[in-house]
Amino acid sequence: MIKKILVANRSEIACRVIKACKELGIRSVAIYSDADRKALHTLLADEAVYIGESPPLKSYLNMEAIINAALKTGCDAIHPGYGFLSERAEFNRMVRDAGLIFIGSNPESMSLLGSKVQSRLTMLTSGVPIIPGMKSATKDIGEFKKYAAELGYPVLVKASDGGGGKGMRIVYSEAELEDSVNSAIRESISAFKSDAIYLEKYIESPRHIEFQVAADNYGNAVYLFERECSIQRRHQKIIEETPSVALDPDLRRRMGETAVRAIKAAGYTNLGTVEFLLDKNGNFYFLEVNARIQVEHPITELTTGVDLVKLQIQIANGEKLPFSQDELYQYGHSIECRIYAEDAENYFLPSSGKVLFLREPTGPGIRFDSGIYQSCDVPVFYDPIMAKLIVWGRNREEARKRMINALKNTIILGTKTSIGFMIKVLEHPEWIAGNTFTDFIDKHFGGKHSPSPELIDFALAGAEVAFRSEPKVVRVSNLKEAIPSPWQTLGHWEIAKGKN
Amino acid sequence: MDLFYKGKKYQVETTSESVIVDGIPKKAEIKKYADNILRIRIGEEEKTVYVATDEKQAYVFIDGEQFVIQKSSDTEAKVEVEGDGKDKNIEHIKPPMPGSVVKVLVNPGQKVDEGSPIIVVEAMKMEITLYSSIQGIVSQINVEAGQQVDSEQVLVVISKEEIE
Repeated sequence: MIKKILVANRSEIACRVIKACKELGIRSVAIYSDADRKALHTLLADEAVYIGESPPLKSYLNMEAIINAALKTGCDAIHPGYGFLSERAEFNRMVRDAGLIFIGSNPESMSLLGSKVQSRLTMLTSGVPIIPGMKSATKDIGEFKKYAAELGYPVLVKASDGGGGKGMRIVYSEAELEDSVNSAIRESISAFKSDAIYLEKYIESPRHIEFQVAADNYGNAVYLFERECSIQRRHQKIIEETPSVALDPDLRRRMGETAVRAIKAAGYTNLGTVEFLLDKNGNFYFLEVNARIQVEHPITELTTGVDLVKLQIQIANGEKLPFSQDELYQYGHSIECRIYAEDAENYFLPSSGKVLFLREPTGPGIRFDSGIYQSCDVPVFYDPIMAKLIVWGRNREEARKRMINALKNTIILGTKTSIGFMIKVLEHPEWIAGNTFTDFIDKHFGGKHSPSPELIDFALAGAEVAFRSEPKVVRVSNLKEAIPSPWQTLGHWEIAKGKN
Repeated sequence: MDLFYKGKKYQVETTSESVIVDGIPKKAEIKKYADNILRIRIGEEEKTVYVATDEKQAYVFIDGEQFVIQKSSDTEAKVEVEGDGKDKNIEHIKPPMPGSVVKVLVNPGQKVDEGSPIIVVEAMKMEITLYSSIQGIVSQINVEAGQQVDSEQVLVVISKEEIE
């Protein structure tokens, strides 16, 4: 019986897990780095333990320190959240060896699925459709060239152990291949401590559809329907919705059943997400299993009524799935917007700083999963997610309008955010028409966004008044941190050379 | 007061009944509801304006749109000076944000072309390659791989080759 959980994460997901613990009557322990001394998750947990210096390798990726903290505080389980150690099979095994429960799948299925190459093989033999590509990772550039020529450009270079778009490069010609492979290797080593890279066919203008699945330790498995995650920038999702306009009941059922088959083939337990690419002709391809809670899990929660984080804990606790497939259904429509500290006017480059003013949105059907509070810092060391705004509506259009209004009422001052950009996306006729493909942002916004010029007089007047009434007190905040985006000072630069 | 938005300078004054931008007055009313909350009417239009300032800039949020307005020309002026001008003789390669150096791709004295990759930096788990915008030689390398760097730090200097 789980009585106390260490939450091995930070920001909004740590806060989300702590809230689930409280509802289940389980005590929670937060961990924090130097940069997160005053972070929101440390305030919500029953206890908070310092884990190391700010760089992730010294804190949130420091496996020994985290396990020791769990043992020291008398925890019986560790919840890894998403990112960081959540899909590290080695950590999973270490947690188990320390006599603790890892809230997630077993390490064996995790190492199988964690390797994209191995998981592709497993799926292939279980009759789950996959994208054509290499069957094993290599460092031989000659192999890459040969394979790319066979598949035809564009191709996708991917980190075998990767996720979240890291270590991933689209390559349009052979000339770019070597640079992209090397860069993907470095990024993969830095983010995942692995240099395994492989190649697959790049499917243009696909939809990214994922299925939520859950399996208990007794062989029962269900799918909790899809999430459409096609609106991405830098290969990372920014707006998600469910249900997907691209699925009809028959396709939904076929994809859902394939998702269940995929996790059963891998011997997977607990909560997971099976990702598919859906092409224009209704063909779907297995991409990967995310062996963790997803950032976008709340839209499934709002449309199915299931608390997925609590379900994770209950399964880890040895409980049976509390429902069968027939008892699950989708009700209404839900959208999530991820609120990152980033500069939508400048190719979505991360921004950092201090939250000088915050007003959270409220109202019917509105949920705000936050990792920030007014006057907290947004450190440079981690993924710049600050919060997630999730809405529910009876249908897509009601959810869309509700989201636009909620975004307009999400006031975060002190860092750049993508709020204005996301409003423009949701107002775009192609989004309204449901034409949400993964190249949506590049195609319709050129990767950039600028605010409306007609508001500039209001902005200037507001700034003038604010500067004039500034108190004459010298503040002790870190000047450097208060400057969010020095990109303007750059001359010539590019992200991930290769596009155009 | 001089304010800067996206590299452009604006001369802005507000009075009890007008907003004057670059000498052009517009009938206006500004009500301060709280420290960070203003209600501004310019002409016929009325907006709620949220604003907060730090030492250098104002963050303004109106109707879902965000504006970051600089108090001095510090950061913006450089855009003018360095710009993307192909005629400049020297280039200071700086990281876009605080982070760490992944790899220096050039050696001192090396010839580089416009668009040559110079250095790879990483911040927030994202790798970014910085390129030279001029043709020249690497005249200075101030950092090495693994080093933590600040956004204003000059990492590499490229000088235009002197033709004699």
